[in-house]
Amino acid sequence: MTFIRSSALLKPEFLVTTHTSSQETSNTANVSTVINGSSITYEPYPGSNKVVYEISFYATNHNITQYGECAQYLKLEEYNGSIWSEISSTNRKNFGSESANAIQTSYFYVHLRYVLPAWSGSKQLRLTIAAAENDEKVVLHKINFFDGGNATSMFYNTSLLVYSI
Amino acid sequence: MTYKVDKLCIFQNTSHTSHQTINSTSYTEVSGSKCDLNNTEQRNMNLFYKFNFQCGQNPTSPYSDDHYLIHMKLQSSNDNFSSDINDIPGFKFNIAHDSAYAGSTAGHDYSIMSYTAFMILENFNKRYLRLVARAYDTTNFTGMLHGYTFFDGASSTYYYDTLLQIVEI
Repeated sequence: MTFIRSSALLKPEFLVTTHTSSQETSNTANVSTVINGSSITYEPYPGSNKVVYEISFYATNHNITQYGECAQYLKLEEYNGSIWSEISSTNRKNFGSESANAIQTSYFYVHLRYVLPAWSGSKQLRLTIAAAENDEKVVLHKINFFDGGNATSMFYNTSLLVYSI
Repeated sequence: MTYKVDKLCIFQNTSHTSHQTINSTSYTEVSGSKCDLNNTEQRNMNLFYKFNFQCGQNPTSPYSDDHYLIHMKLQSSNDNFSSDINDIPGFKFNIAHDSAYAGSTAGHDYSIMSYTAFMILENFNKRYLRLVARAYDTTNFTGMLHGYTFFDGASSTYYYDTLLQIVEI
């Protein structure tokens, strides 16, 4: 069924990042990296109650030895004019796995959606990622295997959408 | 002067009555992922394509695999994918899962995952969109979509409704 309406989202702003290189996160535990394509400045629609921050990106477990563990945590941050800080500890996200047997299965398609209280004026937002333990970095955006073989110079676009509700 | 522009907003829920096994190296359409935007005038739109579905390791595979690697691509068309079939650049990706029981069939029920493919398209002017999928190979990396064969702690077949959203932004 199709519905046509004048406006589905309030004041949507989006960013599609076409990557031409991979991005490695830190191999040291708890050292954060800003995910390329996750930064945006947004001012909520007047009178709105919530702001939705929604993003998808692609990651590969770099610890691809057999049973190589990979645990990542992500924080959504805001800039107050002088420093970046986590918006709320209740907004933390995780993903991870072990590379149990095959390196071809060490991939993560990540889709995250945050619903935040609205604010006044414009605000800068970004998403950071860090490994839970040493030697558990991930490689972002690059696709290593596709169409049944090795892939070279193949990257997945990061999609970021922010809107008011 | 005020101009009112209607924007596209599609919600398409599909109740599946069978599982879709992905065990071929040829691309096949993911059931429930195709949509007619009815964009007959080929208007340029910014939109997002969001598709929620489930995948697990193929429990019917005769091979001793316990993982899957499924290649997926977002495609567009103006003729319902009859002859006009286009891969959309930048939106090819993999879904994959492994488990400590790899090499046996003991743990394939640990591989069940739900996914939400979320992709923003800029200046899109085609009429149809869909996802297609294939397996990395036909032996050890096959998968099964839209439900599984275990539930409530026992062997029990169930089906997972897919939800497709296409919203102009």
